[in-house]
Amino acid sequence: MKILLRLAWRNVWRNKVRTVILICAMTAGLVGVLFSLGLTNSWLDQIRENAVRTFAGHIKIHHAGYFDRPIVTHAYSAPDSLASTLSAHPAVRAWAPRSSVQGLLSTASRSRIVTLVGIDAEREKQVSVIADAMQEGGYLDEWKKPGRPILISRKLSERIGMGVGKKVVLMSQQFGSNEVGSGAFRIAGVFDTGNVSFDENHVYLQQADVQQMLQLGDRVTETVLMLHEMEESEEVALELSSAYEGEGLAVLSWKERMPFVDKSMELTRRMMVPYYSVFYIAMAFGIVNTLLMAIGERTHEIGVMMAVGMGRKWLIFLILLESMMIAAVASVLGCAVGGGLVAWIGATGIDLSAMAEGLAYMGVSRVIYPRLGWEEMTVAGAAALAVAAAFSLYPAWRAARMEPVEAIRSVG
Amino acid sequence: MPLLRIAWRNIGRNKRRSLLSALAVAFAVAVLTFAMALQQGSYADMIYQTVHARTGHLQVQHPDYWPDADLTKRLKQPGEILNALEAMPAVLASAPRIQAAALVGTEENTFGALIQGIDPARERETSTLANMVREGKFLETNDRDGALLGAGLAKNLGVELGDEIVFIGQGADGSLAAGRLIVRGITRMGIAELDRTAVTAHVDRIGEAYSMRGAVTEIAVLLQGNEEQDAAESGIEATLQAMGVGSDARVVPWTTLMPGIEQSIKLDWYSGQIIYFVLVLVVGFGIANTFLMAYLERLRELGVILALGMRPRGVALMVYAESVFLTLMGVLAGLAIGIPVVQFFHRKGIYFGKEAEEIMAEYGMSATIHPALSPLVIRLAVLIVGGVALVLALYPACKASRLAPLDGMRRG
Repeated sequence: MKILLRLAWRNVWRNKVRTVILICAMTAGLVGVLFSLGLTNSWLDQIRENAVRTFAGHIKIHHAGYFDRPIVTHAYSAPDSLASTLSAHPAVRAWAPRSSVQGLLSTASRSRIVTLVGIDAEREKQVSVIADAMQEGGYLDEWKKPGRPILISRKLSERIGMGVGKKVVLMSQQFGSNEVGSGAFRIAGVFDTGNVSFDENHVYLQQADVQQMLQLGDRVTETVLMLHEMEESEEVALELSSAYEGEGLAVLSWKERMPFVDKSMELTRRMMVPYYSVFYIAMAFGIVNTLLMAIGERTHEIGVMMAVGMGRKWLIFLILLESMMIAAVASVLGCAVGGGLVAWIGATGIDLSAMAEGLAYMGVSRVIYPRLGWEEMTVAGAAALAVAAAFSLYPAWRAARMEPVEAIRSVG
Repeated sequence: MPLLRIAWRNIGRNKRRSLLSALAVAFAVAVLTFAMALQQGSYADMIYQTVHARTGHLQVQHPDYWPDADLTKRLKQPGEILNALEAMPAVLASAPRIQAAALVGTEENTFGALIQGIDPARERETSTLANMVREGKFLETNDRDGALLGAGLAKNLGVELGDEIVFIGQGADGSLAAGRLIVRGITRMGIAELDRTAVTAHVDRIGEAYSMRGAVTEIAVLLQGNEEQDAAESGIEATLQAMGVGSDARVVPWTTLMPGIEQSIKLDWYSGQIIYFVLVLVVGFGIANTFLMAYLERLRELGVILALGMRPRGVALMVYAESVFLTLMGVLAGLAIGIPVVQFFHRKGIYFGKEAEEIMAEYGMSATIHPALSPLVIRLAVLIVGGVALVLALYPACKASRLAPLDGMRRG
């Protein structure tokens, strides 16, 4: 066995240039697979992160009817126990109440449909990126001038031609009647979350101002939760759900609230499989070709080995070993280079600002960060080994089929 | 050319190896052709959906209207422009529209909406809106009281066919725009955000309510075909100038109106090119081995030829020609496999399944993609694969040109 290993290893390096070229081919293939895996990951992460971090949180607590019909009538007064329960829950990192409704934002001659998000300025900092996304002016709690503050996005600011300090009028339906409540607000700050379509449609206000304008009292439309671990979302949602179902509330994890995000992630993952297999097929061509050449050159030698008593099984095994050795070197190299490349690029991210609209269209921010898991690298590397093993069988079978006498006679 | 004949015969020397190498090249060409045709097909689909369901190929707008949607930046004589457009042979149909933001409500609920005022008869010719009516009927030609509601909006408002809705917005002159409409139909585009906000009514009715004084915000233009867009754009531009409305109207292509779609197409296309290049590199290294072996095997022979007086350049040419023939065979075989496969699926369409349908609708795509072959796709597939193979083939050719006759004879 040990001899066989040594023999295989020596055979591999007999024609260095050829082996190196094959290793290059397989390494390039693996790097390609790993890099596109890294890109796909960053992409899927972004779709989810965008949804979760800009607005949706890991879990949201709504009135039971809100998810189906997000109307202002489905606002609720938080049960007394909710605040203390959430604050004491070990899995919950932070939570914040919001009073969020759809309304009309108008200037003198332009008006737009937006979502008015009434927030608790302090708590909101811990559950979403909005406070960190401020570009001009200040966050809600920095507003010291008279008038009620509003935060709008850079994109919306451009659209309505209004900047910090300017006045806009908001209109929306009041709670408990179908009167339209309206109010004037001053732009306190301009934000940019990086997601163009989100930015265009959301404005932030003090929760108390929204509650007053729409006669909501102390009602909120949602309580948003961020957990320490995203993976616990479903579990925690289920647990809270059983506690608050009786109060007419629905507790939903991000996956339940945004089945679309989850499903499109699934779909993308599945669609990538044929893509990757093409790379492995390309590697297979190289393997078969190289091994056939190597065997052709060694016909004489193989004949001798068989004549001195090497069994056909052992011969097949020898060639399998050679192929696996080449693949193993390529796998290690490919994972090192591919993983390194992804890690290197992932550290700074790829800035695709020029394509911001296109990215936003697909729910992604302008900077993407490729990422790879160890698991994925292992699978990709192992797949290369498996392909090498599978495709060495044909050359090996051809070698084993040789007649010793004829093989010896052929010129070595 | 005896040189070329020798090169050609050399390919037949090791048939299996040549076959495998040519197959690898063919595989790469076929995969690239198919993958790029698939991409192109999906873009064509996206563009079709955008152009026919939403924007038209082009729009005539006030120069300052887009993207701020200011109602005072409007087209004052839509009738004249429509008549002029109708007279142009490249124009298939055109339709005037008013886009305005509003709060739309019932007795109980109010929601933000985007009201689109249309001319029902013209809209039928210009867009596929009429086909998206899932319940009830499209607006009759002179129906000034009817409205079509997006399915999501209808559900949120809790209205059915025949129910009355009220809209409130801000008119072009800053006055209150308001009115009542009767729900005649429910539309479904498949894009959740649109279905949640879309209201369609008669253009005259909306124009009156929003104090537009006979003006509209846009005229959507559908052309005879995608190819004529650039020519039509300048043609219409010239017509507007000739009419003397050049300073109040300009032509805006759909790519400007929906930058997200154009950019996401570009993003997908270029990221695809990178992946293809890596794939071709894998195949390339695989066949580089064949090129190299074909040279190393014949060192002795080449040495003899050199000793007999052939110039090194000639030897290099011979070695290179062999690689070129092999690549050429592969490329031709690849096209012979790839093109019929693409054509078959072009007719039949590739269906991505029920689940994908919902998700792809969200991006304005249908779940059945028809791969589309174009000269560009074939040219690129041939160029990428052929280019990489021919560059790699330079290595053995260079080595051959530097071969010393005695060296070759001794080593072979």
